[in-house]
Amino acid sequence: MSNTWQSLGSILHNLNNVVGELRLRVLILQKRFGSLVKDDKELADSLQRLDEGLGQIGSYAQQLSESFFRREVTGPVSLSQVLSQALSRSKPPPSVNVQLEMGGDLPHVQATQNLVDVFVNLAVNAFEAMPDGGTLSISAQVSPHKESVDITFSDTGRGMPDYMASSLFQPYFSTKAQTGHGLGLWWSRAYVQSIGGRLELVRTTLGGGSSFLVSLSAVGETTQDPELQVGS
Amino acid sequence: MILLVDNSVDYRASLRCLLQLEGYACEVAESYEEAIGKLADKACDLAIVDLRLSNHKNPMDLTGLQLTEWFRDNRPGTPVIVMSAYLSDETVRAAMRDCGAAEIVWKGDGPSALLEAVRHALAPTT
Repeated sequence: MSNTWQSLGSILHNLNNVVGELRLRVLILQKRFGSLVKDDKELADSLQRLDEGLGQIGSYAQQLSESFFRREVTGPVSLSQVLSQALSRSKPPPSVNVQLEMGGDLPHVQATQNLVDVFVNLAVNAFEAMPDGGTLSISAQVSPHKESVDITFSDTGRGMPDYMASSLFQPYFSTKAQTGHGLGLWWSRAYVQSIGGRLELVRTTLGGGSSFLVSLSAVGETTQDPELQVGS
Repeated sequence: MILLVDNSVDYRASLRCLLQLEGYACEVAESYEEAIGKLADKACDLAIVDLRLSNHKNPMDLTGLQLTEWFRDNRPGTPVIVMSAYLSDETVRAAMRDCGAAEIVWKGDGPSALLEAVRHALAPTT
């Protein structure tokens, strides 16, 4: 998930927390000073309006959240273009060697541009698992019956213990002490599932790296994409 | 007794005040560890758990999700209401129910929704 989306998510979370707390306080005032509120129409109307206004703020926050996180209409997307954009945005560190292997006759996949964020998330996680350098291997292969395309992200990083691997896709789970919001992999998997695909951790070994699989529905004619250039 | 677990000191204080005004005995905790500690020698009738619980002293976030699972595994008769200030998305709700939450309440829905969930959770079963 890009930094912009993480920041937006954090802001909306804090906004909802504050709105929720203020609505609690309005109700406390209404209950604690019930007789006063009952006898003073202006006070009663003010508290009522306050609660309604806070409710509207919460509603606007929810609409904002939905407009940013709702998926666009899916359509045929070129994997080579999506991977190219993702690698460009993820900014591979100089110490990491990125190897890209695109199978021949790769079809387009059914997705939206949000797929770029999924691949950025996987790439950035891999880079952060290799603080001293290593290799990220990305491969894309069409399935034998050509109904799907399997994209694999394999790194030579530090890997994960079992208890961490089992919680990896849970919301708010983060392995990054102060910076991770814990929604990247949860959101990525939810998005991939929403377009009919799947995102799985296929392998992880402590000290031996991890491997993620994204499997997406194929659509349309196959194309021969030009070889991607992965720059430093 | 209701155990309220929320890392937001302001939200925790306000909700505790409201629950007490409604006639409920309420104890509070701000983290997973504190909640477990309070339950070492006592039980609660209901737990209200914020989805996002973070302990800045611990490099690993121990979230409300994991606390909900603890209740499911250690206090199976205790209902847990999970609150979230993040998304009211159905995907999140389904994930929380899988972890044992009796009800999920979005903070943005206002206190009435939470109070209704509390009444429902504490209603005697026939």
